[in-house]
Amino acid sequence: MTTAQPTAAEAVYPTTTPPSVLLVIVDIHPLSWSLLASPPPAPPFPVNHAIDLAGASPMTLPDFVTILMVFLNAHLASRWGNEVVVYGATAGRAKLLYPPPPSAVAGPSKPRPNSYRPFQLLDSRIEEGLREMISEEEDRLQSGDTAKLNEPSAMVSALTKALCFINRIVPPSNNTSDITNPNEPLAPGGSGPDRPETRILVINATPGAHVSASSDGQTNGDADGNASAQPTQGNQQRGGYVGLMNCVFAAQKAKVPIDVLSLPPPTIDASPPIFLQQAAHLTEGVYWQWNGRGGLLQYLHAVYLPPASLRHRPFAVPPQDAVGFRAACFCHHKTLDIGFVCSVCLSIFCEPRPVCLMCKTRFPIKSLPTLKTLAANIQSIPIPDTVPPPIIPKGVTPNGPNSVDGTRKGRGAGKTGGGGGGGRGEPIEID
Amino acid sequence: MPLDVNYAPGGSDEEEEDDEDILNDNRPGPSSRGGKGGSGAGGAAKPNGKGKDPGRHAWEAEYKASWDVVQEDESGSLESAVESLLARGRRKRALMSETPVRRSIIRHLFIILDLSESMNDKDYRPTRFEVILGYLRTYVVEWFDQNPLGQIGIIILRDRLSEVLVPMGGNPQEILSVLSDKRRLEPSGEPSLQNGLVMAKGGMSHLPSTSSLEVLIVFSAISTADPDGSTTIHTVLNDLVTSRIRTNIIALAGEIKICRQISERTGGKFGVALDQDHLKDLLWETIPPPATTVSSSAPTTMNVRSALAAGGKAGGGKAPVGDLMVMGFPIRLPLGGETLCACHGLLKKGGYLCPRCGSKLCDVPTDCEVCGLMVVSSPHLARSFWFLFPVANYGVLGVEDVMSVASSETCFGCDVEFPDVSTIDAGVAQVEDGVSPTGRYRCAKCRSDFCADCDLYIHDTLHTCPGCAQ
Repeated sequence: MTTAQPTAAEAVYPTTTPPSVLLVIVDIHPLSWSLLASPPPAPPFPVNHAIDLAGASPMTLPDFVTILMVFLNAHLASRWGNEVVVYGATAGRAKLLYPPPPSAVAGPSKPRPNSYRPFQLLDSRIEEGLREMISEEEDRLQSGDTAKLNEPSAMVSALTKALCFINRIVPPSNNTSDITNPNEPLAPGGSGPDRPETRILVINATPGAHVSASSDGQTNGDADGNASAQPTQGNQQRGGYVGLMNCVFAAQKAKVPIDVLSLPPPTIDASPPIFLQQAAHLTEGVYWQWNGRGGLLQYLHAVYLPPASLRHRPFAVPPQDAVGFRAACFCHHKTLDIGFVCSVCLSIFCEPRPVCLMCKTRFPIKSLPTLKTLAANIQSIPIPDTVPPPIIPKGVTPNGPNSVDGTRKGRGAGKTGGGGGGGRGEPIEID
Repeated sequence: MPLDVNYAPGGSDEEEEDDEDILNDNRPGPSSRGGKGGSGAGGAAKPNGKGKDPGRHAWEAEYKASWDVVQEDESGSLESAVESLLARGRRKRALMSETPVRRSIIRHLFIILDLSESMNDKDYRPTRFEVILGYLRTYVVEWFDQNPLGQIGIIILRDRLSEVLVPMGGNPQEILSVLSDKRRLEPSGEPSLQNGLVMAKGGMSHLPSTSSLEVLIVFSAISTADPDGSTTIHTVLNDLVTSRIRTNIIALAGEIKICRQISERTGGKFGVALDQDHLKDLLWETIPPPATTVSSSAPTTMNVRSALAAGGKAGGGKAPVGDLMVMGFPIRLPLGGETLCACHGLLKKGGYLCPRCGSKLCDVPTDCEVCGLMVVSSPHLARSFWFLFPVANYGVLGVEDVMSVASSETCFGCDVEFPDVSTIDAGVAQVEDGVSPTGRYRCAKCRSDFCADCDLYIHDTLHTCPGCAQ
């Protein structure tokens, strides 16, 4: 993360910023929200007295949507020309909630005289959309389609949709013209006065340690079956990790920051959703985990309201946590600290194999036993607190002992995973 | 100034050749200082450039009337014709992308940029300097796209000194910001090839031998002014050969003996740019990893290391030998307090923790100084995953398909509304060159429909189907 050290040239505040388009992806997975609405009690032995004294306060979806609407209205109000796009992501499905399709524009039944009309449109449409989605979920539950309900939220699908949307409203600054006309200055940020700034805000409600319901056995067999299949068949079903990473790189290319707000407080979710955290880190977005103690609207405003061009000057972003650059293996979707990588196609496996599953390269059989012993001996050293947690007033910054603690726990799981055992679940895939 | 007195050819076998060079030397070079450059001869021998089909020049190309292609529609308007032409071009690009691609593991590249006065020559418009800078900026972006684990450093040569402009690093933005600062890069003086090469070699000495070490020299002058002393450019060349640093040289002015020698002995390529387009071709040729795809047994990729082990000869027709590498994925520390790093022993903020031994490393990818584990950041690996899980091409939906099957009204990607089917008249509505008359493209797997823009974006950039990701 390039924390902008203000140089002399940058010391001037920008006099004007382009209008910005905020794309919000709200995770409305019913199971996650039921967890959030009734959080488990705080651990009996708080790790850090200064921070962990209070338990998490419950947060229900209607409460949160109210907060979100205020935030979105604030975004609309902060500059003329600002726009909002909202996607809802629920179990295995993602949908555009706002703006409504042009054919369906009916507007609110009667305009209220005392409210700014765009606010009213936005609020009523989002509420309507959420109700639609939730009733569809109920229908699915009624019809006994419960297998899908256990899937994690379709974050990747929502992200791809958001990126497609950005690609439509802000066409890429034409790679072709850049190449054919090299003298054209490659403006970093690609910002003209009229070119809107876009950013994506992912509001995650699913705990990172959530075990995906897609059974391991099935995916495993799938991986083996895939070894015989053509790699061009486009197997995306394993691809929570791959898909998310692809989104990240596309966002990087389009210079769209992906901000992540993770709602499950540390009492629910000890390990942060590391892939979303990576996404935020790689796209220079802001990752922040709610501490579960209210104040969400203030946090949203303070952290996520300024557009990317104003993030570092004159505003500031909260200090970012340590980011674990761990990867998910292709064979069992485990999160790994130490993996075995095919030198030909760079696929990642959690255990030594004689043949690469993806490209079918045969590995030298001689090295297999040594690798196996190596795999058996992988013991992650607990990461020491190299950066002492800053002494901070209660609930001001997101990092601190909670995250370090989470990292440690995550590493334990990674270790068992690396050893080939069926360890406890880590954030296997986010989609 | 004795700018080439120091340039003493090392072996006697080379003296003869140098004599030949001097014979050629009375030709006027494009640079005003061309006169006595010891090996800078042949300056005017421009058509020596390699790598391009020499038989045909741009002005010999077949004459093609572009207006013959366009036809008016019934209302006499060209709009639809132009639109379909555009769509066809984009579609063609999208459909091409299923060919196998090679990939490198880890490449380290130093770009040595000649910033001598000759860069101000105006044979490229507006100047060589501007053209090169522009190309390099796109080059760096493209290079990082194709070489996810690579690192680039930039060395500049001017006033007979070499200077590390950008240390070896994996962040294209940093390089781009430096390259866009023209005031720092003002050309002046003469270049010293030897100094640049020594500096590049020194900058890569700590790197593991498993990675591919490369140098790309963009040389604009036709002479080099090297320091006096016992080491000559020939000893430096021998060092380069022993440390297996592949050196590609692109000359802007003309063929230079020592450059050709350096690149040939280190297994690189030497080229003289004929014009801007050729210059770009030469530059872009060095982007793909220096190995070629072979053999049907390896589906998409080729191990670069095995190619390197074969002595740096590109395209040694050997089946790739895979290898299972142990890699660690580090934890990036926040920019908190300063701690000692294991690689330099310096107090630094931030850094990465080796997942096996817990020592702090300054930068990844690297080999851990303590336990020797290869530490890479997983996004580096993930950058190439789309090769493994490509999105299958979308099918075209004709009018009948849309009419018969109930299909959605909006694009699944960007939620834009499709054109109404009923307004499309049957005459235009035939599927032609893969362009959908209805503007709809369907993923065969998830049965979702996409507009042409999203189709292109998904296949070119995103590499993930929004429907299949659900």
